[in-house]
Amino acid sequence: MQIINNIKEKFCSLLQEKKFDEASLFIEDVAKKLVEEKVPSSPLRRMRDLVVSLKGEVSSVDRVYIRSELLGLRLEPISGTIANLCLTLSGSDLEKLIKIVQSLENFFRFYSGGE
Amino acid sequence: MDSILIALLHDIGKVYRYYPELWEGFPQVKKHRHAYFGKLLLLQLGFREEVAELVRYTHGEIPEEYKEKYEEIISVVRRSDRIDSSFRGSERAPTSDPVSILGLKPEKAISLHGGDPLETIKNGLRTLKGEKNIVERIVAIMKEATALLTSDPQAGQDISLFVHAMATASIASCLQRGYKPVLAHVEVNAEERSQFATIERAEYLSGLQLYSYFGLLAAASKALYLMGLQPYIHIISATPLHLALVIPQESCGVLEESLNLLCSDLGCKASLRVRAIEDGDFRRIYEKEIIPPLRRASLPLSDRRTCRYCGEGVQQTHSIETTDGILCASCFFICHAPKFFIGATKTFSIVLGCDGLITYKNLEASVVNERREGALLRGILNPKSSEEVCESGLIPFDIFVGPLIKDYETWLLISCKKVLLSALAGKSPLHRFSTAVLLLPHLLYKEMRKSIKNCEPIKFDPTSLILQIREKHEAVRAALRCLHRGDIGMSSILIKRGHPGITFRKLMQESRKIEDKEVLLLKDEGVEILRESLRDARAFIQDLQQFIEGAANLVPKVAIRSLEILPEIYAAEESIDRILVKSKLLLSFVVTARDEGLPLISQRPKEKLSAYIAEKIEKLPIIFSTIATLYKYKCVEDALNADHK
Repeated sequence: MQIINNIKEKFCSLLQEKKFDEASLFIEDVAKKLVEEKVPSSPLRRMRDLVVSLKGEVSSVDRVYIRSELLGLRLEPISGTIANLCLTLSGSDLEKLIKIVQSLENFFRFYSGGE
Repeated sequence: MDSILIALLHDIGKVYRYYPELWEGFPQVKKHRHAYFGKLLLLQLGFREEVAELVRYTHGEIPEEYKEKYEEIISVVRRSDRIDSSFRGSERAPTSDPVSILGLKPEKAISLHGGDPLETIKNGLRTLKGEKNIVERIVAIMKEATALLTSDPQAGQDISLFVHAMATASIASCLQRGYKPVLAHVEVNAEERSQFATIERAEYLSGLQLYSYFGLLAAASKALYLMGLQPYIHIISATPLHLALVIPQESCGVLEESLNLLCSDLGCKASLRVRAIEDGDFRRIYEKEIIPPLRRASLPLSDRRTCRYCGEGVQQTHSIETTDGILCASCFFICHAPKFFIGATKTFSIVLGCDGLITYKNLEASVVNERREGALLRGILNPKSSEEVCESGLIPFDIFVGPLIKDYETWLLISCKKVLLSALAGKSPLHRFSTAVLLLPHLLYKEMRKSIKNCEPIKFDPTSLILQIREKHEAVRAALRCLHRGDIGMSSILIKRGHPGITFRKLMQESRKIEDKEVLLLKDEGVEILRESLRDARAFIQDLQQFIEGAANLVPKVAIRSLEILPEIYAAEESIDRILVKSKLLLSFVVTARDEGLPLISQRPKEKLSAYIAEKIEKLPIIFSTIATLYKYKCVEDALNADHK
């Protein structure tokens, strides 16, 4: 159980260090863990929508708003880590983060039954 | 009496192996039973006793009285048989298996055009008394009756009894004249003409097939005639693009000269490969490329006209004015050849001189659509039944050219190039190639007729089959079945829709691009299915069936839903991209199952599915697009039940 808990933490610490390729290797296991914990699907869907909305021209006010929304999702430690990243990320790093969050939601839906 | 006749008939008794009740009827004959049966059959048919006895004594001990009188004949036939029989095995057991080569075989051992082999022999040879051309009739009946029987099932299924009889007879013909027999293989590049032709008449390609086919037969016949040899003994097999002959090495020069003239008539290149025939060894002796002279370059400007079809320069005196414009002699005869030979059964004769329906000006030979005495070679084209062959006594040739049906817009082309090349490249090239040439037209056409209701052949011969089909889905289903089974000799299949005039040319051009692969090309849809990808698709569904309930229903629907995602697999450069694609693919499985009301996937199989998709992800674009095509044409079940060879 300890190992599985560590997966989420390891995933978040890799995201914080912007080691996105390494972090991507943990996505599927993190999704499985979230399914095991019976996390509802709506916060994950909301998290995906918020992160995807960072694409394109986004003002600093928008970023602050998105951060606050992410912090309110209560998907700790994942939502907090992503909330911190969304203030600073741009370009290819932001693209990678978006793909990671999309994958996380897809895997979650796969393991939870597709809802 | 000569050794050719005895060589032709020496194994005729092997037909009885296909009649176990007769074959087992003489238990007292322990050795060389087929020779004994051959003697009995020939006596029953009214052959002279000495012919029957000589056939009997081509194997085993020879009584003194025969040894003295017929030593030379028996010696030549035995030597010819030995040279040709490096594949020989024991001959004891009865069989019901037809000849089979490279996995290709007819459903059962019957005559070439549907009769009973023994009955065909009896009907065809019973009327020999008073016949002027006994050997020609025997060749005709032997071809009809024994083409689809094996020479020696114990040694493998892949040599036709007829091919062995012909090879032995042609070797005997060389030996009895003191010549050294060689195998000459000719290949012409006739299809290159269609590439340059502006085809406004779709008959051009059909005509080209006939023009090339008769031209090859005419060139070989003329060369053999000049050497005092009978063409129907030495021409073992022919297609519109190939010839296989067993001839004296001394006559290769004459053959080459004839081919030179033919190439001038055809306006295309040819190659001549000569191999030794020494106890089953087909060592190469020499190869020669024959290139026709450039007609345009030799013409003075004032005298030059251009052929409307091939674009070649042609002298005014050699050009022919038609309602379609000015044509060179070759294109004129190419366009007109189908008129004389389209559809129905026809007899033909190849004669010397330039006054036939199809003429080869440089070769100085022609084809007439009648039976003519003194012809170089005669035959019956596309007989409908064995009875027709027996009645005519002429050698059957199968190259069919049919008319266009304007309402049938789907075109199916099946090329056999690969199987012919494989037969030539392996052991016993003469026998395997000639056996494949005998089998292919019948196998292809029967198979297609069986699975497609509304179809008409434009042409079929050993090199390829072209059909016009009313319903595209029927064409695709039949083609996919061929691709699953891989046992009718196709190397490529092309399906296309469109207007005949234009499509015909494009069809041929496209077919040239794909003919080296085992592939189905749906031209209008841009779909290309290799046989290998069909196998992968089948394996994919079968693997998933092991841990996902209802996978055979689910996977095709997932494949269709996922078609848009598949290009992302090729574009995925980083691990993040691959993981995102994988997550989308996995999600489509559960969403499809839910939306389609199919059994949901439980947790444990999901983990297996995830691992399996990760393993196969590189191949998934091809697997899913193949499955989607199978599903579209309702062929998933066929694919799962197909017997792969």
